[in-house]
Amino acid sequence: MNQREFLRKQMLKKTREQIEEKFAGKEIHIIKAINLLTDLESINNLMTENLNEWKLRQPTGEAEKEFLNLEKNVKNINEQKEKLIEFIEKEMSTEFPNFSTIATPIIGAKLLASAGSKKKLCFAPASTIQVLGAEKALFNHIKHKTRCPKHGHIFNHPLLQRLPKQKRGKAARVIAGKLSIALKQDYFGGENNSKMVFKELEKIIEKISNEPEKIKKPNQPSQKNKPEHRTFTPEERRAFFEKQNKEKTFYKNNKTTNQTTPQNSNNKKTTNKKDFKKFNKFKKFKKFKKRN
Amino acid sequence: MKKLFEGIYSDSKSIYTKNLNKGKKVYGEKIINKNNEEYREWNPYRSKYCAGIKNGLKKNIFFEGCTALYLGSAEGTTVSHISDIVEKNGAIFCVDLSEIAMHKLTKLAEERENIYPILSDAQRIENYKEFLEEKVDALFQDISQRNQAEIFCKNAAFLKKGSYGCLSLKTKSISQSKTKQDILIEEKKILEKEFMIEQILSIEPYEKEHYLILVKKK
Ligand SMILES: C[S@@+](CC[C@H](N)C(=O)[O-])C[C@H]1O[C@@H](n2cnc3c(N)ncnc32)[C@H](O)[C@@H]1O
Repeated sequence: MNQREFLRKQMLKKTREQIEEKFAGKEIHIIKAINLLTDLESINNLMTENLNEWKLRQPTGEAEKEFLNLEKNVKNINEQKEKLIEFIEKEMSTEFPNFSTIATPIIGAKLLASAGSKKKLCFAPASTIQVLGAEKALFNHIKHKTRCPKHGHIFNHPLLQRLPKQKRGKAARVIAGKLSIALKQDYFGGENNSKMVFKELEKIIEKISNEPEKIKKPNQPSQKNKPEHRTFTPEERRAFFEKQNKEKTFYKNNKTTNQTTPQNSNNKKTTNKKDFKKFNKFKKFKKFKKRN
Repeated sequence: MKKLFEGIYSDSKSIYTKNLNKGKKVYGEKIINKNNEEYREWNPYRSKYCAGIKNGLKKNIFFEGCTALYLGSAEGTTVSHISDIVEKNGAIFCVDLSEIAMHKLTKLAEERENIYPILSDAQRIENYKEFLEEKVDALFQDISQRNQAEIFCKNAAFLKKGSYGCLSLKTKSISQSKTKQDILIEEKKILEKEFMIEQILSIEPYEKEHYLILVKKK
């Protein structure tokens, strides 16, 4: 019994230590703040949209009172947002001096929130940092063999924004590499040379943007298989339906009476489907035209 | 007050357990006094095991003095009642992943001497192997993960042969699109490698898309 009591005390101590380790880190406040900031942004967008619409209708009397109240709230939210941004910038520059200047504080905080904790972020390889924030696309890539994401939160980085689409992947890779070096400097208390690194990075990015664009190979399978877009004439449509009806009756008769030629009818069915798809596209196109 | 199972009592409406920690509530439940004993009401809407008992579970896997492994203890709603059932000589090892839930559970563990908290992922059994050198008499799992059944089978290594386990299967976290009957058939196949399935219960009015599965280790 005594042994058990001892075991229990040990386990209690261990879990308490684990919990404290999680809660003690300063980064938890940054993570909570950045999560709230994204929430506030979406709330703000929704509210201003509706309020502007309401303003056009010119509310009077009771409605005006409510309207003014809500407008005040939106203003408050905006102020709160700015305060939060200030707080995040301050905290990030003390916790991650190198990292936050290269990544900009807000993007840095987003990366931190995605990673979960300071240790996890600092020990992550550059390739992980590059796709942090694009988890959904990444797992889709692993599971369903879709295309691999080129960038997560890094996408909003000011240096990346100016580049054309084809070069962003390469630039994101370079930036992520620099970020991971800066993180390691911050974690182990290295010197602060972030401004120099940032200038270097700018040069590299410029070099990338000056590179000639790669010319795509002309015979790519994806272009070959593209269905042609054209409108069907009424005659064609009529012919299509007639053919379809004929095949349907033919297929039905064959199915019940003649079972020796299943292959033949099968073949016809598949071609049928393809044609039908084309027709569907045509229908959609027509609807689209009507709407505009 | 009628005795349903060992340690579990019922009157006409609700289910109760004897309060081990006299005079204290855990989550704001009702406390009643009868025949010099204190009973705590067990809410089936908040605890899946209780919902199972209400819907006619065949056997109570916990008993007085047993050691139990509870995966996914959360804040300790269900754990507090099981702690009532196993009483002072028993032990409950509670595994949970979330620090915030564990914070509340450690507070409960300070008051109740038979609760042993473990902060770990239930998939990584090597993290808490050292605490469980003796095998346990009962295994209960209630976690919302996609591979619930596999985790349950992994943790069966800690269970004694011929003793009982109970799995609350949340079908929504396995697949959103399949029907719950289809999921049940698939999960049953996984469970049958390690266990014999004794009973499958739906806990319908209290919790949707859930099954309670009673198993016996081979
Ligand atoms: C629905 S709650 C359990 C509620 C509890 N049985 C009760 O009735 O009071 C599920 C719990 O499982 C935990 N959990 C989820 N995944 C886990 C994992 N892989 N390992 C351990 N715990 C996990 C969650 O933190 C959560 O607290």
